[in-house]
Amino acid sequence: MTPELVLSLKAFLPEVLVVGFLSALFLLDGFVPRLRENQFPLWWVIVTCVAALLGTHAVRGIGGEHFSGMIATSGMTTFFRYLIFFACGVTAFLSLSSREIEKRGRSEFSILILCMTLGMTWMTLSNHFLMLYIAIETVSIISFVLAGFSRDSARSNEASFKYLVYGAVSSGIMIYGISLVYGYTGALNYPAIAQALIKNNGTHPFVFYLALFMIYAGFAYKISSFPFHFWTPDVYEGAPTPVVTFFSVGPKAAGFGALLHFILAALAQKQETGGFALISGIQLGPVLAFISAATMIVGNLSAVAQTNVKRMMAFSSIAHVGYVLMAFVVMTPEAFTSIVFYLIAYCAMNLGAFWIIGIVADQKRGSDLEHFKGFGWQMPLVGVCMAIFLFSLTGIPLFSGFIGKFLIFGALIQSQSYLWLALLGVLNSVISLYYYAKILRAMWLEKPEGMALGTLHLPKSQAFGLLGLAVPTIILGLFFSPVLELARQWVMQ
Amino acid sequence: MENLIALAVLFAVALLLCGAILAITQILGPKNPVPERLGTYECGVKPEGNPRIPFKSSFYLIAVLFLLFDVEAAFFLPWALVYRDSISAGPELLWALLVYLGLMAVGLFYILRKKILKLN
Repeated sequence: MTPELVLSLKAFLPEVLVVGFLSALFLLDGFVPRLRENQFPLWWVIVTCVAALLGTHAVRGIGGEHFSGMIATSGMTTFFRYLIFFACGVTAFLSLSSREIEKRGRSEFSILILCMTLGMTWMTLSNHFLMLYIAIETVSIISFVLAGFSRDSARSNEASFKYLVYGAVSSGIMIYGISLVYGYTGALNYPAIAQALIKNNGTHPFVFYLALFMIYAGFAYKISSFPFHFWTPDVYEGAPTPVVTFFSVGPKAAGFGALLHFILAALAQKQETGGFALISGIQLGPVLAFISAATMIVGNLSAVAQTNVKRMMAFSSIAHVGYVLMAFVVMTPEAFTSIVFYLIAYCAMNLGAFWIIGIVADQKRGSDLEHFKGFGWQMPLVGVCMAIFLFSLTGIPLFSGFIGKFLIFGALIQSQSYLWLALLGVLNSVISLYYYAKILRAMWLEKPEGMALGTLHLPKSQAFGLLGLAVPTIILGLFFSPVLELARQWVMQ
Repeated sequence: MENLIALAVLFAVALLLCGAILAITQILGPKNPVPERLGTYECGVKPEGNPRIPFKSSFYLIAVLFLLFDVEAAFFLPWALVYRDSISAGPELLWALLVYLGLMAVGLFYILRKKILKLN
């Protein structure tokens, strides 16, 4: 065994663990049918995610390229691995008591979300366009299946079909862009592309910029940024709520990780000050600023008119993508730190908000604002947690969402450019308060006649899980320095 | 450049030839439309019923699984070419293939146990 291979396998340990557990789940599901009955597959997924988190912690220091330049690990990829495995574990936990995933499909659901987790970590790790494309396709194809998991629901089938069509077209555009970049630079490996770009010294043909935008089409489809966000409301509305919970956090984080990895490794060079400077001739700032502004505006303004809460939250997730893209415009270390912190806060808030939407959907068989009326009085803990998550999503102080937004706007203002973008972000946060408050008003202030306090029972495990997401949301809003320091370390490595 | 011109000429001749054959058949052939001759051909049996029936998804599964295992077989071929020379450097290449084979075998066992290929 060559030392490079040993090091590569060591750096790949979390994914190797997941593959091992996944194969065991396949065999157990096939040969021991008795295990399908008592939620064993979902608990197996949770155990796998815990093992993967421990594995990530064990190999967190290993950096550099592995497997002949196919993947590259760094502090940022360690962070994204933590985030993705955590999101998978929480999704499996909340699916334990979800009525929307039919009981006889639970083991297939577990296998699928584990495979998707694997694909998502590959997305953030990939250092080569082919690896990136394979990883994106893995996540996409499994997402198509998961979006249509409720086979009896016409909405679910429609969501899956729409996702498939958009995904196929966007992936096709992306691979065409990749082939054009290969034709121009002669390489598919990110650092080799950077070397080829530096050699051309400042002037690149128009085809290259077109190809970059085409590659962005693939990323934009995954993170649902303008102009490739049109699938998001229909898919989020139609798919089963546990699946939507996973969609709103996992592929978005993985897409951001992959985009960050691509920009930093292929289009930029590390400076001595620790920041990154784009290779001369590539001006991403104005384009990304326009895309970020358009994404925010589309997300927030469209959410105002919605009456279905899942659709509203889909548009809200589009808006949050706009906020994060703001930090991509300036490439300072503060901006990257703010992205990391924002994604941590966003993960907790969104998982919690969709978890509660799932609880309401199970109890009331629907996700319109009508079904939320008075729910805060029926399940007070759920109502309070929803208030915490929604206020955090808005960006109100005392919650982690505020700190995340503050860091991103601060990174923009510190760099003294694109101040109009920061102002637009603040305005959009104000607009978002309207539709988040609409949900809270339905839950707490529009109580139907004769509804008593605390009439519905929430299982203790669910209560602990929700509190496990809500309490850090508040704590991160007050004591954010340790996490911020951790984020800085991850960005520096 | 000459090759491209030759290719274009080949393309044009092919189009002209096929077009000419079809046109001459239409013009010079006998015209005798009879219902039995104009209908769909089904091995001599009278066609009945709707030709558009729901597509059995098990056919799709068989095709996709064939594709996956065929790609696996395709991976074996270059491996076999390289393996003999690499034995002297240790068993790593064998282990690499066995890991790949093992992962596909897990899938194969799943397929067999779940009776996915049964077409009842």
